[in-house]
Amino acid sequence: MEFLKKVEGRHERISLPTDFKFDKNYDIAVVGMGTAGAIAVITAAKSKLRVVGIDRLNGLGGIGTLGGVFDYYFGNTGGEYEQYNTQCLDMTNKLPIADPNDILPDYSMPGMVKDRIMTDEAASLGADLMFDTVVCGVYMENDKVCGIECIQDSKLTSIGAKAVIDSSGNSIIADYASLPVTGARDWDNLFIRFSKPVLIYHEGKLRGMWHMCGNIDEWDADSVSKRIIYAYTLHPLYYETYKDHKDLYPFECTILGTRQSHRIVAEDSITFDDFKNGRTYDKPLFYAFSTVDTATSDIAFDNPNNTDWRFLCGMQGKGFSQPVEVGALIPKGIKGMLVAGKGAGTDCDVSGLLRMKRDLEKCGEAVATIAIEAVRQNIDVTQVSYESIEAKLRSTGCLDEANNFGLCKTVKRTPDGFIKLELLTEKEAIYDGLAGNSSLAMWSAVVLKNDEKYNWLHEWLNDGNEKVVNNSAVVLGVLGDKAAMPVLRHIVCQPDEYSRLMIHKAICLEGRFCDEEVTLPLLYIIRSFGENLKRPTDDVAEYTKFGLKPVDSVRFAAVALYNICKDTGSEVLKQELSDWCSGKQSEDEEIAYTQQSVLEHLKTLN
Amino acid sequence: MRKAATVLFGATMFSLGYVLSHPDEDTLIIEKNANLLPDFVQPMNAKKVDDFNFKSDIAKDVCEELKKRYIMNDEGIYHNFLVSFAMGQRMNKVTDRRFLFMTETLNITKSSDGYEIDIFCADGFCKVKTQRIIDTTSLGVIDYNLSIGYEKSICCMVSKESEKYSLPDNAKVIDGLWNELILKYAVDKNADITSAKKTAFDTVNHITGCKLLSVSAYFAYDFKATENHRINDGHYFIPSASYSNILSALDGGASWNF
Repeated sequence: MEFLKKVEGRHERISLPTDFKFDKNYDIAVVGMGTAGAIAVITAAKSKLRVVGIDRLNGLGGIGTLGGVFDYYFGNTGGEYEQYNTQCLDMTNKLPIADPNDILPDYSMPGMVKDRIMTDEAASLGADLMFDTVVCGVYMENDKVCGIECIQDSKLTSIGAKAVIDSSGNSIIADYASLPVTGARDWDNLFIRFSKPVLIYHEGKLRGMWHMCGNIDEWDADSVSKRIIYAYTLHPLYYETYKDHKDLYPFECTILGTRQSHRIVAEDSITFDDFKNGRTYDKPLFYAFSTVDTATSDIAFDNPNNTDWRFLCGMQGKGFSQPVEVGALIPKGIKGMLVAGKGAGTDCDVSGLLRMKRDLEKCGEAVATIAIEAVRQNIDVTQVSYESIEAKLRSTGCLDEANNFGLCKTVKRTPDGFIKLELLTEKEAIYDGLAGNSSLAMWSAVVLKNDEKYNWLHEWLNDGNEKVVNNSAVVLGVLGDKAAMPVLRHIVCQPDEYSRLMIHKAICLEGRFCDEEVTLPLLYIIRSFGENLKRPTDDVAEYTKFGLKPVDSVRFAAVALYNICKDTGSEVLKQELSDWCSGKQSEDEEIAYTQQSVLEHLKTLN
Repeated sequence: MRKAATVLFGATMFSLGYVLSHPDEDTLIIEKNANLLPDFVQPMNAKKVDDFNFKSDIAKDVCEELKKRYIMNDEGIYHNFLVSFAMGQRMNKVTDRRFLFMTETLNITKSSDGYEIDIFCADGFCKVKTQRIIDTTSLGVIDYNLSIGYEKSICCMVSKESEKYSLPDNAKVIDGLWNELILKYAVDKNADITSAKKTAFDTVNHITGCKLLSVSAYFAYDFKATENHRINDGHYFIPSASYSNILSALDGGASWNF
């Protein structure tokens, strides 16, 4: 057996003597009792197996309870968790407890109450709950995880387990085990911004409030620590004065609001392309709901799939369901371990699939159900048959085909569920949609499995309706069809004739096409820091709907120029772009970051 | 290996006072949790500031800021968590002050030129080399085998919802700055946090005219006197929470010299 850990940021493994014995032994160990882990530990404890739950904090529910993020109670219905929500609702209604806005069923959950109810439940079911405890290493026998090492009260404790569930939210066990992980967006390896929530009691309602506090890597101690201090300078933690202030601040949350962190490379990771290509699944454990996370502030640096969905096709605010199979919850090539929650195997663009609370709770239940079956049958978690767990997951409502609704209109549920959207397939419907700037028509055209669609789109490039022409060019651009280039090029070269939104789209796609013809207008944009695009006719509402700001024109242009530079190998352009990056630094932090990150990319070009 | 001239355990008022008053010293604050002020603010141990005669300019300046921003009134009553926010903002302005949050301390070893500290943080197991240590945590990051008198409590916050309200008999009540009250329940020294939180949460069964807003995630410690222990050469244990209030702890740290 070996003990694997990190020392000063590097991985180390130590061979253990043959007579090594764990300090404690359990059937199932759950690492991290946040939104997914809390339900995992409760589900596991119901089996009467020996179960331990470990958490850095001293309560259950993580970001959704002690982290103050009571809102955003989104995701799909059905599962073990629902009974605890019902108890929360009852207790909050009956007792003098400050309740959150729009309390259940579809928006908020009183975190303090849920922590109390779940902690009581886990303890009464016989689970050992180790609070104020961090996991610092993993024990492995060949390719099987067989235990973990913890620190509690400055003391180390080794814990053996037949099945380990990593619900840390950042794949910490996979990290200690030196397993490959996936993570942030490609451009600059940044995760989606985190927040530092606090509770605010405002007009008789208790809710969490937060502000985007920048990007952190949870595996980098110094960067996390710096950002925590920086977070104190932002709203809602900062007001110049509290004179005439009416709000109370009853709690400074004890966990950071991280939206995205490191995720395992799974046996069968879920990708955005799976959704886009309409992949089908035979053995779903549950159906999760996804938004493509909109919390990045610089969409020009996001991955293409994310940009296609949110910005180019305008699907921001819409969501979709996706089946989750066991392959996404098992690290590739490893036995004895499952992952629940945000650390599960998804690519960057679809990581929001396992971020909504209900889905995380369903994930915790599904993973615990697999672990229970593995222990009972004395087999590895990778060997548990679908048939042996399917009925159990259906019995609680965790697995329910009604949750497989496909595309939906918004992230909020109605009492009847999500409002479904049907993809357009008919030529006339798509044409009308493009004429009306319909995001559904744009997305439908992108994913439509019909070769004829290229003929339609090519035909519409010469249509008399300008919106149809431009939107057809955008769709073709997303599809990588160079027929779009003349239209897009014209938009970049003659910006005064177009809305800023359309200009941004054209720059983005022309950058993907590495079109040298737009080099000069793009250089003009970055050198004027986007000032040349300012004009009184801007459609501000349309523009800001996508979270866009004037600085985005500079970002898109700089990325496009870098792509052109990389593709053409032009030393002249490289020099011009380098001069801009290393020349006068913008006082605008966001442009300064653009200069810095593009310069770093340029340095990688031979 | 990280190096610092002085390591302070606990992101407490004492520690912040020390680093603010030693701007030229290479300091590192090591904190187990993700927040500032685990001494008074996080446990909601909101003891009123009853003495404004501070030795240090930093304590005077912070006091003035808290009053100017209406975080604290002239009677020394403050809105608990706003103090943490204000101190975080102040620390952010001092750009070279180093923190390590979410860090466990495992061992402290005396060496020929100071101390080596074994920690566990997001980077994994690490070492910190330092000449001096001040441990400002309430019970010490390691067991110093000292006999110190203290009481342990758990606190919760309620809001007054009407003119007439009643509160549990077994709770000590601390007036808040605005419409809030902090209720403090003494617990056994061996009490675990789960049972203690339950004690505070059960306030809901014994209040009228108020609403429960929050339960602290930290124990509050009340000491009989200000504690100051020399553990070894250049290694002191001075629990920030043993000072009478936030500003006296800040003043204590700001005035401290080895």
